Amino acid sequence: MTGLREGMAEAIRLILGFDPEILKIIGLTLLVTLSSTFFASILGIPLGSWIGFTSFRAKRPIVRSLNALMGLPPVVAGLVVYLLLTRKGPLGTYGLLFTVPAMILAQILIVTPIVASLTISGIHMKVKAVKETCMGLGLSKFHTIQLLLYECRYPILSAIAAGFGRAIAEVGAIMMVGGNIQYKTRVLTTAIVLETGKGNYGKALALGIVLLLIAFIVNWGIGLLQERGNHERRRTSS
Amino acid sequence: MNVVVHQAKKTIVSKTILDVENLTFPSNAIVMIIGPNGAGKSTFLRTISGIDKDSIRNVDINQRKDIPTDSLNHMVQQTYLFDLSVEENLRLGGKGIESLDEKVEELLVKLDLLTLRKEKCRNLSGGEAQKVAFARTILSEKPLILLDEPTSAMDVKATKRCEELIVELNRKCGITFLMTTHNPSQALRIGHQILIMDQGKIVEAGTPEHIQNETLDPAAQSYLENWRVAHA
Repeated sequence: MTGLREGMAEAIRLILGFDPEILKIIGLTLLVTLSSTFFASILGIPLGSWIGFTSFRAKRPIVRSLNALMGLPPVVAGLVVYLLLTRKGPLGTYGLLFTVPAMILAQILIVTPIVASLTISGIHMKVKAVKETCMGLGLSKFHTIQLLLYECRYPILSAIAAGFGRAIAEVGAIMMVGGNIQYKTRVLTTAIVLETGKGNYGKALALGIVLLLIAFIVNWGIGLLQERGNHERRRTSS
Repeated sequence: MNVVVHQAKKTIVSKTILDVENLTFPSNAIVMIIGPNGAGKSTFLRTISGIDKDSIRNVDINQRKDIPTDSLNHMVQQTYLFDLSVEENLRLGGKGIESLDEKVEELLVKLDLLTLRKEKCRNLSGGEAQKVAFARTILSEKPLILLDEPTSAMDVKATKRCEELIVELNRKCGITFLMTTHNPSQALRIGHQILIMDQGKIVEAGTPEHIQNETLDPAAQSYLENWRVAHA
């Protein structure tokens, strides 16, 4: 208990003191997490929309595979990216291993199936009705997709939120490909692991509180956007 | 608008849902399709418009085998309104047509939707939503309009308005309407021709006079008798 109390006191001191290392770690965390969520959304939303919108023979196995990949172990993703970027790997010449781009790449690999899979689920709920209505009105395919994405904006937002949640909590893959180098590739999760190992519970707790706050604020914001839509529905339909 | 059905067929696990062959719809007419639940009315319309992809479809619309999206509109049974305002939903039905503003205004007035024009469609009642979907379908005045139970959720006044609009559009613009209903009296009121379906087949076809006065196929007779008893 004493350790926890001391740890909390240390955490508050570090946060309020704007410790430069912690600020750097926060900055890097935001850079890696937001970039990977952004790129995973760029890939996952169109992919999920396309799969959700079209009918083809291999659709079911692809959807099942994407669902399975939602549970992709981060260390496996890390290992794949590590093997790709290591000096003897196919992308070794670029010297990206133990850099921020490598961490972003590993997280894209983890987050994209989540965004794509949840986008498919969202699209699936509305695709039949929207498609039939648009076809009945003689609207073009492009217009139909536009309307479908608009109708599915809240589920898609949820998909992005879930992807962000996974990215910010991830530690295994970025530890492998980032190397947890101070001031270079150290992010909140990897720093917490390191500081706990060193017995610096105060610092680990401070980082943990910041991590929680960031995750909380971002998800709160996304949740607010979704609730606004749902609230309007409830308020006006009552 | 000439609509010739050479074959329209759908089977689900050895059960025939639809089986119509060699049927020519009269041009520029209001054709009403009636029949009990599961008779295949909606599937028939969905096959003609090409929305049902699982059916065998050999239909000529103005001598074209493909689906002429530029000359056909279809209001499906489960109407879906987009999460937009009433007016925006209506405008979707008139993409690219001239005098869209006037037509939207005209339909909003005729269907008593003027006060709801800025209202989000998710806030509408079932009947109001159906009126919007109906207005959206007829707005572009395409030569062939398929309506699947378009007035099933409407009150008497709104139903009457819609029927008047259908008759008016048919008379003024020569639009061919194929419309399903569960209300034979509606079919007799506005239809030039009535088709009675049962178990995926057309069991009776003719003018309202024929349907009312002649001896009909036993399945059609039984359907109408049941309806008369229910509404006596």
